[in-house]
Amino acid sequence: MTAQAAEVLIHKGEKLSLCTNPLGAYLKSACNPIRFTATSTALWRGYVGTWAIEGGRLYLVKLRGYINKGDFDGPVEEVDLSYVFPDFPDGVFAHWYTGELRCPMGELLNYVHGGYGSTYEQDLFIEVENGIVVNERVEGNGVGTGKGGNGYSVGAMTVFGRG
Amino acid sequence: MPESYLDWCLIYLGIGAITFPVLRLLVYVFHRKESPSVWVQEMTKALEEEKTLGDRFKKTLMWFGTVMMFCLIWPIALVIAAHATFVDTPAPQFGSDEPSFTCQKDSLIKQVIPLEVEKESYVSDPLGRVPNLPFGHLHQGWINLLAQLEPADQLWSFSTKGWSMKKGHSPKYSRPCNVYSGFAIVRNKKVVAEFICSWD
Repeated sequence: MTAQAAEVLIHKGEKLSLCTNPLGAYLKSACNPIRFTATSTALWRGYVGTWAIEGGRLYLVKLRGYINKGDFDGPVEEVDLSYVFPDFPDGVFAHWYTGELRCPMGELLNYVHGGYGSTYEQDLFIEVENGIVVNERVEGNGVGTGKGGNGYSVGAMTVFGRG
Repeated sequence: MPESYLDWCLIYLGIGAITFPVLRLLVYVFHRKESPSVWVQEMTKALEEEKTLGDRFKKTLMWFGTVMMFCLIWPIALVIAAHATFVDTPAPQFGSDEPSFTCQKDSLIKQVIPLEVEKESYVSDPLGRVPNLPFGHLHQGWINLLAQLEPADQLWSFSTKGWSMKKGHSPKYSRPCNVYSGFAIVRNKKVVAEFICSWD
């Protein structure tokens, strides 16, 4: 088990680590037969999306994903947003997403080597209803000792040597 | 020969105390489970909460209670063990060929009319980053669902319950996570197809 690489959220001019996978809902909806492939144990979902909040709406603006060419064991190919949304290569309104985006901030309090389980000093929660931001708040989880690293990170991973 | 009821009781409990480890040993030898992989072990360890002294005491107490209970009812335990060992039980019937769905019966909310659902499903965006189709980027999923709709079927809206963080634990989500909602086709009181259009 390995901590997972975060998505990226551009919000109010800042680049934040996003510990939520809004694209998962789209992929789960079976609208698209795309299956990404894992390139390391820190990226089981096989892609990293860059999201942006513009005008109070959540957009997927960039994607770096990995797929297997041909068979499951075929060489790995890198794909971008146009592979998933050919008609919207510059950005996609994430209207399918309803929930809370979580962006951990501050010092690492408790490292969990799995998923997005680590705890940081603060969490920025952005509440989204059908792609539209309805609220945001910051929750405190404690105060660090100054010994933990700052900002979201993955402790260790195994990179797969396919392709 | 035992001379009092107390002697008989002690002999009875003693047999139980001997039978317990013997049965445990037999279960270990004949029904030993494969030890979990390193990955599963690591995952279990990571998910396991740190045990307090109270937790350990509770666990020890539970073990003690189990042994005591066994000593009291060991003839019943022996009958059950013999039955499980010597009497053939039919294999459980799993519907492995049946597709599984996120939507369960208790997730269904209300019956809806496809045309009305479609009318209300259009999404607009000032930047034009969504197609002008029912359910926007999820249009294909809706089409796939409608393709499976037969005249006698019912279309229902659904929403799953998801899970919530324990109070006081981080991350402090304000509402349940992993809530799926969408539409499902119900045929003969069974969910036969679904379309997930929102996920929390």
